[in-house]
Amino acid sequence: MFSRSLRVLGARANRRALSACYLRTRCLSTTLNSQAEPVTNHNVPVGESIPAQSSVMPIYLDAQATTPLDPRVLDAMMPYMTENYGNPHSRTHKYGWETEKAVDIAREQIANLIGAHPKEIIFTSGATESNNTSIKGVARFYKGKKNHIITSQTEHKCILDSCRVLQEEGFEVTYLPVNKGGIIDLNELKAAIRPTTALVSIMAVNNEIGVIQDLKEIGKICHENRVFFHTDGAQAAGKIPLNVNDMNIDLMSISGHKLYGPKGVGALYVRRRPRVRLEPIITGGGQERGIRSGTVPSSLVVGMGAAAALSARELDYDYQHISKLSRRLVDGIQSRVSHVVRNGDPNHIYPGCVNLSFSFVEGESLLMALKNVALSSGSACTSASLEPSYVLRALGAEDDMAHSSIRFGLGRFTTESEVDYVVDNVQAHVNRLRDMSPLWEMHQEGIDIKSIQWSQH
Amino acid sequence: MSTRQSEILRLYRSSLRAAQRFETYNFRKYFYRRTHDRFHAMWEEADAQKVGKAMAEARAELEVMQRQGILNKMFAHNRTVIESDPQYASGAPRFSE
Repeated sequence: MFSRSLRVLGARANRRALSACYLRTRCLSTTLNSQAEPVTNHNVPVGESIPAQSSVMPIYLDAQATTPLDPRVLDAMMPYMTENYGNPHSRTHKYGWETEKAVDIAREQIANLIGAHPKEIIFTSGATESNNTSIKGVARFYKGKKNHIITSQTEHKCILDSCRVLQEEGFEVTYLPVNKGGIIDLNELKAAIRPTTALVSIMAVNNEIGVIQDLKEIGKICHENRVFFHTDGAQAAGKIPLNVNDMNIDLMSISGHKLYGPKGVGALYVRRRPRVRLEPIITGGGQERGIRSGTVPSSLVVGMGAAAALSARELDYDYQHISKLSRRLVDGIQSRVSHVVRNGDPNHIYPGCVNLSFSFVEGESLLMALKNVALSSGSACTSASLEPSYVLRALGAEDDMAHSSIRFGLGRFTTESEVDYVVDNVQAHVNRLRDMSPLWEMHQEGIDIKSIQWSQH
Repeated sequence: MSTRQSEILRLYRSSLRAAQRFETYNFRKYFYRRTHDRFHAMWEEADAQKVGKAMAEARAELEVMQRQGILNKMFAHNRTVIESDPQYASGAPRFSE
């Protein structure tokens, strides 16, 4: 499934080649570790001093931002980055045919992950492009008859921004509120649907709090009312079981780099029966059913397919491992640190995304204190501004709790030792920061913070 | 011990050794744990056909681990904070991590 080229060599030749490689690499790694300057490293101009070869990196706990490239996925991609470099749309020679076959296999692998037909998968440059294409494309196609879109307040920025752009074009958009747990109210959704509704867009798993929406019910409501249902499955694909037919999903966005695949590639599932029509955003030679023109990046797509196949195979194993780690993390922190709130309904939550609010501690200062752990507060998209996250605000969290939230992202490669390290560090630093906080002191003395009249200076 | 069982054990040992060759902490620990769990599931399996399929998968995985172990050694040099901390990572391989 992952590589055919080495099988051609034969088992014995393979082993010889590999053992020779081991000897050579041992020499190679020792030369690299002794300050020899690599001559052909184009990332660093020759002549400038090259810093120490290895640096100490923090523990990676930010799986919602991106995930490391699984070595097995890299293995699948290597042939297409070295010798099989043909354009998959070249119909006249073997380079093109071989690459096209690989792209078709990748398409099938991604389709199998979500229960779709391979012809329904379109490759894009990422979930952001898939979201833009589906929302703007469907809305603009049905513009004459339908001009209403429903989405939720906790969606990803690219969806909210696409809806804003459509509002400027004359569409009406309803942003459904969420309850304290982050779940949308199905009755409100039913009430919001009008005869002129073209699309409902609700994300499957939220990237900030990890809440899983009830996709089956939403799909049923949309199907009954003959409205297209789009879901942003970037954080959900490969992590929870998804089936587009069971859940009546018409459009789904998938992101490559959230699946332990390469960055720069994504997929869009567009249902063919009944057919979902949409206006393409990127037009050109008519590749990918005319929905997304442009050369399909074969190596990235092969990587994403391998990652999808791997995730489908390892879904249960990864889910069990991540659940175990998640319970260890949350129980560990909540038993040792007081006044910790987990954001998101614990009954409908993906265990790999743990969003905790620590009272009386400022989120950014805790992040800086935990310098040996790679974490995020809020979402990576909004980290440039100093505003508290809009998702936490939509949950009804007060400003001080929204400011003090940290998101721990557990992944396939996270270990128990890393979780233990994080728990100990969080305990130490939260207690240290609280000792410095005058609000904490006042709280300890029994003063109700909300009853204080702050004087204006 | 039957030939089938000794074959499984040989593959298990090679896979564990290949997993230990990764330079990156996270990959090393993951592949070590995954190999252990995969082979223990295979050992419990009674159906000979399923065992044959699992063995083929394990052999393919071993090849991948060997190739990627080499690549990892060539390009990955960074250490994680936890590797040098004796309290959390003793350095000895553990199946449960």
